[in-house]
Amino acid sequence: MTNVALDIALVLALVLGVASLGTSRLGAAIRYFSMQAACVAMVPLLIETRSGELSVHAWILFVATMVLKVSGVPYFLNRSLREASVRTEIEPLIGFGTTLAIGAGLVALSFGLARQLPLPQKPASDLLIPIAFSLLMIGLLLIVSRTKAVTQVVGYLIMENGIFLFGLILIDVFPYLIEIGVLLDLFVAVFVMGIVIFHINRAFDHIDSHQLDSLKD
Amino acid sequence: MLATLLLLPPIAAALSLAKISDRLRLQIFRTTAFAHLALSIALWVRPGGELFGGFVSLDAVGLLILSPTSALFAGVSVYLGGYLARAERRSHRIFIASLLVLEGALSLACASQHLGLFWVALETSTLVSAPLIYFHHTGRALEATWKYLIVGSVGIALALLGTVFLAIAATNPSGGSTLWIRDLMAAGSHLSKPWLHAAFVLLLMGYGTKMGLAPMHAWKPDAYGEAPPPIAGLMAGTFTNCAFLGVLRATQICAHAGEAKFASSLLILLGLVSLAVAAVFIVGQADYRRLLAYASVEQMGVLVFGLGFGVLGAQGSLLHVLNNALNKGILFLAAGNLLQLYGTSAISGVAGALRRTPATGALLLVGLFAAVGLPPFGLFISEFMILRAALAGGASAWPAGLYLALLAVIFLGMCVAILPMAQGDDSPREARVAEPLSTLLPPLAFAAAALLLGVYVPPPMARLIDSAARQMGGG
Repeated sequence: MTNVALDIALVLALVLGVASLGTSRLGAAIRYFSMQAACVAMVPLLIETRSGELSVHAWILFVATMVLKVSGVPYFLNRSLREASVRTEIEPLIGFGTTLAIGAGLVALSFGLARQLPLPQKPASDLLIPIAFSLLMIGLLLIVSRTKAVTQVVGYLIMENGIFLFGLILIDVFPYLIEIGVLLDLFVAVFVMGIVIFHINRAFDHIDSHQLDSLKD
Repeated sequence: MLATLLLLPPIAAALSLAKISDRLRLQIFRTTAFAHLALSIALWVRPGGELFGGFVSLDAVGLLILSPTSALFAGVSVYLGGYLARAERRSHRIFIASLLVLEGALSLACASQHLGLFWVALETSTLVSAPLIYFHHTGRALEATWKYLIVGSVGIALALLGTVFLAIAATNPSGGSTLWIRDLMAAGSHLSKPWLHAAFVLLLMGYGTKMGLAPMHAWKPDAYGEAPPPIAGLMAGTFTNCAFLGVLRATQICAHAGEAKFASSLLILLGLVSLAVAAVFIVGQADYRRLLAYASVEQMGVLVFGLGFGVLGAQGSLLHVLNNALNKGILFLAAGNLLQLYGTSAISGVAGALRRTPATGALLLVGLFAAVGLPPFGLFISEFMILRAALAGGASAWPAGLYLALLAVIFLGMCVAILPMAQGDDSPREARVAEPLSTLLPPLAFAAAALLLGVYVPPPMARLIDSAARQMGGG
């Protein structure tokens, strides 16, 4: 039963990642990320319920993720958007249809890649590794194919969700203080990026990072 | 002692956020930086032991990277007095606090014995550098800050992934794993090979991005070109060295796992690519701050190139870390003086610096000679040691040959760009300018140290370099 729940959470995270590739609205992309982070936050708890006891560590991780990633990060991103007139991704470098197709290809590639790298220990779910790889690649794809600063941040965050899933293969390797440190760093990163986006808005009247091109050799 | 050294900067940062005058804030920074320097010198005499359950402890490599970091911060803290007095007026509250947090985070990175903690420290230092780069609040600085953040974040995310992969590689039969550096080295050949390889590639790419190795260097010329020069100098001389520490740790673990060959081939390749990219962009460069940024790409290339040649090469690289820090201290601080005097960072806009401001002009020349590796400066010694290591293996002479050729091109490119700035003719003749001592003494001190390291490496330092380098050979 719990195995099914775990797989559902993982698949949902993947679907939300793909959805963020297909949307043109910045607000929606942020929302998809936030829901994805919630799915990912549930994974450590679901993994542990299989063996019965829920550890304090897993709870701390869950609460910290919910507070910082699921609510904190989207709050700051939305705030930096509030003053921007631009709310949609108008001219992506690669069209939405094409990105979705590439995204599907990357997901397939991830499943192949996971097969090539067998884990020393069998993971909680066979979907864990392929979906972690998928999120990583979807995130990277978003960063390179979109022009709006906010979408690039969302791409970075989706990538981070993928890394988080990899980290869950070994729940005890990071002492939880360091885990919280990682989460806090991520949160501060988004905070700083939010401030920069706000300044870009004010200085250039756009948040199009591809118009930031006066620096080159 | 180590605890004081680590806790001092963040406490001072909190203090500097209080409602006090900017003059007092600078004073806090200066006092902290010098206390930090004194403590890190003391650590050479009396090692600090283990702290916080062993998470924090300075080994030979850590101390070697911490010392120049500390020295550079002290130098810049003096320099900023004169620099900020002549810069446009704005509150230094965030600026000074960020500097202090940066110093604390870098010190923590040097002392981390756990790769997770190391990552957290390095990521923190990335984030606090953003306000430093954006100090002048221009559109171009904003653009540079954004590029730095997004490229840096992707890089550091890859490094985190590499760290996780390393933990997966170290999974033992009972399901446990570790990210303690000493445990990872002790695990040796028990590490899972495919995951170790993947981890090394990711760590090299990730921390290589932070170092500014080509082809992940895109942020560097922009950030160094737009940040205030003392900040660019700090980043080029401290931050990049600490990121190199990440690469050092990864190499150390690979070597202990008997995978030194795999690691070296990648290190040599990336080193040569960086040297080549630096050579291409240095020749014909029109902006001296960007020129120095590419010179930093070059030095980073030399560092990883050297690391690819076993113990001998690692010795050269570790000495190079010290020389690189000192050299960046001279060059960027001299560049800061020129920027304030001439009001432009275009190479064509600066001429006759030797006549107009003899001290800065002379420092610029000394920095140039040291940077291109002329004897008797320290960089000559370390670059030569690396060359010898590259030829010693009895392997193909191609890498060594390419290394020499690229260094020669960079030598010419740098000289062609900088010599006219120092000499040249600035008609109409303008009056000599007297510069505040605070902007001259720090680069002068760095120049003296760079010269000293070229003629004499103190025995304790040689011993430390030796024991650190042996770790890279797997012994």
